[in-house]
Parts: sequence; structure tokens; C-alpha cells
Amino acid sequence: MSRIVFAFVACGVLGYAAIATAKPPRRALEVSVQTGYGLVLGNNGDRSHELESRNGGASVAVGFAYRSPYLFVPWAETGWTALQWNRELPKAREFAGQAPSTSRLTTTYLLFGPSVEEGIFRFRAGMGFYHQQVTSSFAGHTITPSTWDMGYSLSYGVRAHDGPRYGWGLETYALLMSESQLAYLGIALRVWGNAWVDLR
Amino acid sequence: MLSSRALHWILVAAGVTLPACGLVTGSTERVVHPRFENGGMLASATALNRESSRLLEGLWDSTEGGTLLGSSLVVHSSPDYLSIFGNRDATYAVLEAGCLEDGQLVLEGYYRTAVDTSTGLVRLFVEPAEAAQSICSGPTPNAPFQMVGAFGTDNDTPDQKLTLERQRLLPAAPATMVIAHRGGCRSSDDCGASENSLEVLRMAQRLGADRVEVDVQVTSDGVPVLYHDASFGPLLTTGSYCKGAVSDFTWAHVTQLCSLLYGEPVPRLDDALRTVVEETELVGIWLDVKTPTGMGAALPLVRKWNQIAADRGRNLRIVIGLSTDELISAWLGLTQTDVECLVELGVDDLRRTGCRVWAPRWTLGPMASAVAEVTSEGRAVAFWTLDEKQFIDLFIKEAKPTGLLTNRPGLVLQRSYWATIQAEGDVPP
Repeated sequence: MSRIVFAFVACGVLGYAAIATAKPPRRALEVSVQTGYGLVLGNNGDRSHELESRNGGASVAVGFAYRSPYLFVPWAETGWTALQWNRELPKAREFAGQAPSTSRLTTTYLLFGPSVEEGIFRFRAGMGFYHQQVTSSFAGHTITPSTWDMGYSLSYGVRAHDGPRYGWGLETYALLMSESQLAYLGIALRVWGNAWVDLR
Repeated sequence: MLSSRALHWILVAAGVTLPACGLVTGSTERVVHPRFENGGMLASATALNRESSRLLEGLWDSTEGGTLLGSSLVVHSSPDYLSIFGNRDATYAVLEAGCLEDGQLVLEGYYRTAVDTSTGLVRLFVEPAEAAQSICSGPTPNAPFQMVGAFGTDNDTPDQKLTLERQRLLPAAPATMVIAHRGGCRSSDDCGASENSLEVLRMAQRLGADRVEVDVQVTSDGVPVLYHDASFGPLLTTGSYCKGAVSDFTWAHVTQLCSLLYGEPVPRLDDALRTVVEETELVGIWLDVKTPTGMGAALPLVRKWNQIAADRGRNLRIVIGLSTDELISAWLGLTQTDVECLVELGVDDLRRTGCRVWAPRWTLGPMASAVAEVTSEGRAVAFWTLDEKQFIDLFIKEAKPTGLLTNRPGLVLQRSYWATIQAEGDVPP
């Protein structure tokens, strides 16, 4: 439910941004929404009892960037990403008769940093916080523990269309969670528009 | 001034290196103890029995290869193993001994330098041959004997000479009890097993301890488990879904989602106590319960295993550690006080609770007069957690504690025997 609300809010902000101005701004607050899919590197632990698994999954994010005549463009982004999912047979002998466990790992993150844009390319480096959430069902119980991690992000994007009101492009990106040693490598479609512009 | 293009490429370069740094610095490679191929010479040897192993105990010196272990080496036996503890970089060797058909007595195993990741194979022979034959057949050799052989690096064949000569027998007891932290060593010390695992409890005596301290957390369904931190995470466990507070996991989920760093399962306290009682000769366990819930869950198990140990004639003390005011309040609220306790706070708290052991933090200093006062009341004092030689020596000399909690039990044992020898004034030339 919260994800649906999130998507509506993001679309509303973007819609407003798209009609806010038709002229190229000197200073502007850019709002973007992106959705993509990626793979995870760094799955660890005993996988000998695994029946099925998926490393990676879909991601959605909404971001803000402040454009100015200066080189660096500060940005912040929050998003949600599916990291891993698996189903595996019981490992301990005392739970041998139980149905397989089903576990899922996702992260909600807040990242910020600078980006540099040249021509149709954009490079972003950021750091921030990853809140990792586990949902696991086994032996008649479902648990939902979570933990915080710090990390980095890197992305490289190309603009396919950069109009005066809105634009869209593709972005490859890496979410790097340092303590848990997970790296999510994804590709996303990004749409952006100006929520506020200074036309002076 | 850098052009925007130059800065652009600097950032691209950072983009390539940052992920590498992030992943590499976070990587955790464990030190794996080397083993002789195909079981080495011990594969065809008859294992030396415990009584004969004790004949090799003593204070030894290295006349060749002293760079490995240092001097004043303590050779100490434990079930199935002989360990050598040196005073140089907290290096120790864990060896098994066996008698070969040709009458030779061979010792094979590995060494570990505790201050870094160095390890390697060790092979020693008892010489002269008459001494080896005598030890293998039982009686103490009449003439002096030595251990001659070599050590190597990692899995390489030992090729650096090592010769040890016995200086004297060990004193009847070391100056202080040796309590191994987190069951034997921390996972970050790479002693060959994860901290708070059943494997490290089995290893504790080989590492030089006669007592262990373990940490107790409780799962959401009330199962006490051995684990230090309040949360599962990559510092102490593996498993992609092993993240979050221990109290959020059921015991079933712990077994399914979490392993310790060397791959062992997270043990229940019940299994840990069973292991200590049934598989070791350890004489003490300090349960560092982290919460009143943990204390409540641990108490029935302590009673159960105290009874089993007593029935088996095992000399074993299981002690509940009280490290916070919250735990002390919970302890004082108990109606049954048939379990021993230990206080990590002040002397007043010790007396208030009636606990028999005071365990102050070592950073408070030796506190010689307070220690003397407490011991004069018939209570024991054990400082935590001392790993450095100069501080171990200082505390043994000035505070004269009953025990020291350490991540380097072999070093504390070596310093402790050495302190006794010095106090007796019987230092070898």
C-alpha cells in the first residue's frame, strides 16, 4: 500500500514539474522518478539447501537535484529495491519435517551526493543509508527483522530526450552496501522534470 | 584550475575505484589452519595417551628457531593435544603426538601468530630415541631430552629449524586462572573456529584456557543462544537473510538463516553446556547474559547442567555474569539463589548480590587494595579483558587476581606460569 502511495506522490510531483516551465532554466529544482531492474553480487552463506533463488529484482526511486551554473549538481534520492529472494529446505535436523523456508531481502535507501553532467551524459557518486529488511517464513512463523547499513552509489546516465519541461533517459547504477558487502547493479528508465525554476 | 572535463574524468575514475574499495575493505578472509597432506606422519602413528603427553609438559626454551615462539615456552597438555605457548607475538602451536613403529615420537600440527595472520606447519621429534621410546611406553625418561624439527609457512613443508630444550617442569599451578573470552577467542582472532561456537569451546583448552566466558542472547521464542551482539550481522555471521535483532528471530529461523563466520551453526546455550560437560575438561563457564530475559532463560539450563556435572563428578562451576544495574535488579528479584553469580560493576554491588566473583574492567587499573580486600572475603577476582603482555604481567604482579579473561589464553598461561616461577625464585639460567 505504501508503495502505491509512493508512486502516486511521485507521479504528482513529476506531473507538476512537467508543466512548471517551458524555458531552459538557469537554476532549477529537478524532480525525477526512475524504475529499473538489477542483479545482486555478494550473496553469502550456506546455499546447499537452496531450492530456488533470485539475486536482484525491481527497483523504484524518486530523486531531487538542484541545477545551477556551477559544475556540481547536488542531488538526493530515496528508493526501494528488491535484493534477494530464496526458498530452501530446512537445514537443522530438528526441523527436517518442515516446509521449505521462503526469505526475501529488500532495501529502502536514502542517498545524496554530487553529479557532473556533460553533453548527454551524467555521472553521479553518492553515499548514504540503506535500511535492509528481511521477511522470512519458516516453521509456522514469519519474521521481519531489519538493519541499517551505510554505503555508496554510482551511476552513469544518458539523456535520450531533454526538453524544456521534462526529459527522459537511461541510467546504469550500482548500489553498494558496505557492511553487508552487497552490490546491486541495475539499469533504469529515468524521467525528470523541473519542480521549480529561476527564470531571471 | 581543473577543467570541468578533467573533473569529470576524475569522478569517473573514482566511480571505478570506490566500489572496489567498498567491496574489498569489507571482505573477510578467514585464516585456515594448515594440515599435513594425507594426515602426515601421524596417520601411521599410535596416538600418545594423556599420561604420556604430560611427560612432555614443562618450561622449554628454543635453541634454534627462536624467532617463531620466543623464549620461556610453556608446553601444556590437553585431551589429545600438546600446545606450546610462547612470549613472542602471542604465538602458539597446537600439536598432536604419536608413536611411530620405528620408536620415534613425532609431534605434528600448526602454529599461529596471534598478532597477525601468520600460520604454518610444525613437525617435531623427541630426541634422543631412548627418551622417545621411554615416553611412548610410559615411564619418565631418565636423561634430558629435546624436541627437534622444523616449522614452515602456511601449507609449505616445514623447512626452518626448530629445536626446543626443556628447562624445568611446570609449577603445580599457574599464578592465575585463564578464562578464554567468547568461548576461546574472538572470530577476528582467527584461532580456527568462530567465537561462541561449539568448536571453539572444544578448542579452548588447546588454546591455553581452563575456563571460558560465553555470551548469551535470547530468540523471540525464548531460546538462549551463544551470540555476543544484540543483532545478527556480517561481523559475526554469514547468511544473506541473517540481519537484524536476535530477539526478532525464532530459533527455527536462526538455524535456517544464520551461520557463524567459520560456517558453524549458532549454538543453543543448552548445546554449549552439554559440549563443555561432555567433551572438555574445562572447570568454569562464565555466562555473560546480556538481558534479564536472557538470565531468566539461562537459569534453568544452569541448574540442569550443574546437576548433570555433579552427577558425573565433574569439577565445573557455571557462573551467571551480571554486567548492568538492570541485571543486578533482576538477580536480586530472584527467589531461588542456587546458582553462582559474578558482578562486573563495583564492590558494593558484589556484596549486595552476594556473588562470589568480582570481574572488573581492566582499564580501571590493577586496584591492588580492592582486589586484596575482596579476595580476603573468600571471593574471586577476574579482570576482563587482557591481551597485551605488559598489562598481563602488570596485573598478575600487582593485583594478584584469581583469574584473567583474555582473547589470548596461551599468552596468559605462559605469563602466568612464568610469574609463578619468578615468584618461587627458580628461574632457569
